[in-house]
Amino acid sequence: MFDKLGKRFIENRVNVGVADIKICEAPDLLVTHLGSCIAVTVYDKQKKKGGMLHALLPRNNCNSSIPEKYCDSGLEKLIASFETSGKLNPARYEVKVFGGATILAVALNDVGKENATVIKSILEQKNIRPDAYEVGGRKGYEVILDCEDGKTYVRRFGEEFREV
Amino acid sequence: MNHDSISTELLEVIFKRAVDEGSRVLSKTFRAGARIDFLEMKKVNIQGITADMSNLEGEFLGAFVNLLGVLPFKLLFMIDKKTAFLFTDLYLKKPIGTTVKIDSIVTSVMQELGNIIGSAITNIIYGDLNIESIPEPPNVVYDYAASIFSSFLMSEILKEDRELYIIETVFTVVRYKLAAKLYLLPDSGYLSKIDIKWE
Repeated sequence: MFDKLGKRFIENRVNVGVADIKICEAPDLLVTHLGSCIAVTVYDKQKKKGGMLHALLPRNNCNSSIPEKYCDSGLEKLIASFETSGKLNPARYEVKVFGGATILAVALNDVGKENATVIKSILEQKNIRPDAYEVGGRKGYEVILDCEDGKTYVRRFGEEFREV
Repeated sequence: MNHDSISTELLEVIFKRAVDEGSRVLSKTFRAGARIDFLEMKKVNIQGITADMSNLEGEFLGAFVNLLGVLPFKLLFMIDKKTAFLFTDLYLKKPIGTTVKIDSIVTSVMQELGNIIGSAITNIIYGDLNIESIPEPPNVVYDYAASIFSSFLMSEILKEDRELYIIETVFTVVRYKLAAKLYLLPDSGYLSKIDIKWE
């Protein structure tokens, strides 16, 4: 990836940890690694502004003080960072979803699968059709959102990067 | 000094002794000068530590061990691919450089090392506190460091919103360059339970 993105891959890299949202503008790159967690990216083509949510669990049933930890409350917060109305015009915004893998074979319940299902249903409720939706599998994901042009690069563990 | 800091200090002493025991057993297993150094016991910010893990490029193997019982905690033994090859050769007493790919032998060795280190550490911890524990068989995952690490933290992040106690160590084996870490994650209720036990 360094060949493609050059020094920006190091100098403009912003890592997004678990239960977090980061909002950046060009020329920054938002980077995350996922297991069962879900990443949702939003890119504003007009402002060259990108956002990434890294949520751990499906639903915020306990009114947690960290909305970013959950797919439902995290997505609300991510969208509100772009549009206070909560509506994203598809002509202006690109929304992509990744993750939800099952990397621990002995997981008591399949959190990854549940995360993927919940995020899909919330997006449907909001009439947001994701431009990319890559979830599941047994290996982790690495996701890069380039705020310069909105290109998203993804690779599953053991594979090469693809632009999606 | 309040109860919380006394408990933290006590926990740190016990874990230091535990890590020393882990070093001794590891040296014996490898028949080489192996050492695990207690680096620090720290309160970490969940978002920060998992974001930092994304800087670790490459392929990693992680052995997860759950210690069940009155004072539950988790252990993650995480090494990069090259170190996994080296540890496999050392463990199987093969010439260094023999193992060149991740296969069932490497994952079995990782599982066994997780067992060995986990048992050594828990023997001390539970010996000192006089409490029995039940270690679960290790699970080995081959993935990105950050993906492995967030899976390791998951059960505790479910309970805690912002900060976790974590114990970090560094591995050394004489003559070899390693990328190996051992993390211990006490259950979020650990400190109060230690108070009860030692008062």
